[in-house]
Amino acid sequence: MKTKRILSAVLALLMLVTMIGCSSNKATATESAAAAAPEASSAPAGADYSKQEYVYLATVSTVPYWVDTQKGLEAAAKYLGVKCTFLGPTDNDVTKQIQQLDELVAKGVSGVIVFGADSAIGEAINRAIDAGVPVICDNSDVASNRMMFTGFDGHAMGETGAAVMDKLLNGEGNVIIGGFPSESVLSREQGYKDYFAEKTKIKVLDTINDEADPSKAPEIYAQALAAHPDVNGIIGCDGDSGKAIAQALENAGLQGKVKVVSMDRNEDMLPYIESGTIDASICDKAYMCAFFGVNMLFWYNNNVINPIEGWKEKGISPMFNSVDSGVMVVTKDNVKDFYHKN
Amino acid sequence: MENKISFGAKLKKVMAVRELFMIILIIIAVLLLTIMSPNFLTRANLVSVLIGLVPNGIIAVGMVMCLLEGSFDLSVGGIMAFTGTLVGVLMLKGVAILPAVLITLAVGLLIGLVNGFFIAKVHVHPLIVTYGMQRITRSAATILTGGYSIYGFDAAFGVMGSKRIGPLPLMVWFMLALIIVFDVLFRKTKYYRQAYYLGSNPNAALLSGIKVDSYRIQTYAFSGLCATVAGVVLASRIMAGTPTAGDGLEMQVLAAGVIGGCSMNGGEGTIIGCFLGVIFLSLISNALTIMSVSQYWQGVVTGVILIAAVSIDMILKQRRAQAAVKK
Repeated sequence: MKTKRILSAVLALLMLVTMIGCSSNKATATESAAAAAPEASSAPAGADYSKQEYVYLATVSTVPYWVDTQKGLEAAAKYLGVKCTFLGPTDNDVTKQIQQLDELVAKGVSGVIVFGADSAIGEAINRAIDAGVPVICDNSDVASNRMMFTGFDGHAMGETGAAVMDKLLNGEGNVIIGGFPSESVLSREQGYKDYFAEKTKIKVLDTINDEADPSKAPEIYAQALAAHPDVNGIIGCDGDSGKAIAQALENAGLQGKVKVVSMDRNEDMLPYIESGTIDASICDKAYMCAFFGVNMLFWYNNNVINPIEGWKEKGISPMFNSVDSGVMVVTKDNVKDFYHKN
Repeated sequence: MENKISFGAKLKKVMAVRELFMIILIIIAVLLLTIMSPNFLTRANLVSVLIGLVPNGIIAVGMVMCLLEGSFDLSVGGIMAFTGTLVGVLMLKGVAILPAVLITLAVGLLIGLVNGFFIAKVHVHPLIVTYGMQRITRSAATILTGGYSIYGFDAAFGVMGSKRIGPLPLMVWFMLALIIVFDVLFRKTKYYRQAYYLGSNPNAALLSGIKVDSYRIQTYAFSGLCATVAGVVLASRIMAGTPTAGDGLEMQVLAAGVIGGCSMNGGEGTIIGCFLGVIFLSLISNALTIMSVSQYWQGVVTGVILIAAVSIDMILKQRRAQAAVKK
């Protein structure tokens, strides 16, 4: 009896400690950005902006791809003296992302950068803006009243990768494209397909869903290889594709015989570029997009920019509508520079 | 001599009611969250939480019926995603709102009937049937839209999210009405109470004249229908049909049911209890967002709280049972 009473108390205490201990910050209330904004036309040095919170709202939020985004957020937080938070559902469910956005708006954060993986979040972005929370879309744009888009055109990214594969295969051969059914990834896949169809004799044998799951993807690609022994190239369109493709090729003894163009710069994929199993990876500029986005939101909130007197009240936005980050191509020649520990 | 029941004994009897334990748990959670974050107990945040739990609350009605019979339905998330996109596709093809909704409801009901048929008549285990249906409906949602979310619906379709009655949108009132009506129906009406008899003792239920196979089929049809209603309501709220909606939702609602007093063996539980479980889980999710808990810790936090909360209740239950035996 006494044991069970003690156990109940311990369990209750454990719940409480877990809730408190895992809170990533001990900050108090986040004041509205407008209340903290100075009237000067530039953010005064030495002012306290620590109560301004800028959130990056992702999806599939625990995959390694987000390392660069979080580093960009940390750098922005340090540079500006604000709080930056990285959040988002751990899966690809945009309805959870929408719910979190609504909750962040209710919380009164200073600004949100939304990973625009799915256009269904458009209405929620509009609700946020109507509630006075500025929103930037990053990586993929969403039809909405968002303040700005930062990132790259997915279709153009696919075309860039396709041009690399075109050169590797001398314009002809059979390829498999891998990714998962998220809008942003699908647009890249389409970019590859359109380039191949219009400019090369390369044939797309199959488009497969690797589920963006590092535990399942290697077997999925291995089965695709077995189903298509005549494949000359494999393309990976999400951040987890490259390593999975490389593992499947090495297990089948096909490294170097099948060309690979992958995506992003996940740390555990880079050794395969070094070894030559992966020929190239198309990499976005996630760090810079996050860093830049927070700075833009900060400028918006804190009267740093003042091209037209009272532009906010008058609804005349001087902010850029769209910023094309471009992409980087990682190859054996420059891969050593992309390791995060360097 | 009059047998007087002490206040303490009465309190213990009341406390044995699972729903009351859930209410106390929720009150404790609210108090803790209010202390830990001044952003929690604001109207905007609470309204946001309520809106967010509507799909789970609607699906809970159907899931409880399955749980009462000692079964479960893993296809609800997939049905919700598929029907949420289906209604959108129909409207974009020119079908008027009401017929599109009615057709979608009929399709969801049919999916549930298929589940029920394979479980009751072909005797395939519910795990296999409903998991298989989950895969089918998720793929079907992706096939319907090519993987993209679809939008561009008539503004009138958004009534569930846009029309407000007091501080809450229509969808919340709709869910609350469903919860209350069906909780009463399950407690009071012969038809729905059969679910308890079936779950407690299927053989006795059969001998007492309940058409067990037919009732099971109806149960899954009802669960499919609830998931479809959730899909249509969600599509109305976000004004989009999204094939990725509700990923993992079936496990959340199952967990909510068990937390709220449903037994996986059947015969126990109420809709109100499951709904309170839905509220509790939504509060945890909300807490993680407003307290900016790292993504990497969210699974740990949620899992620890879930296990601890139910363990406390089970320990207290065992103590009461032992005390009753000693008397």
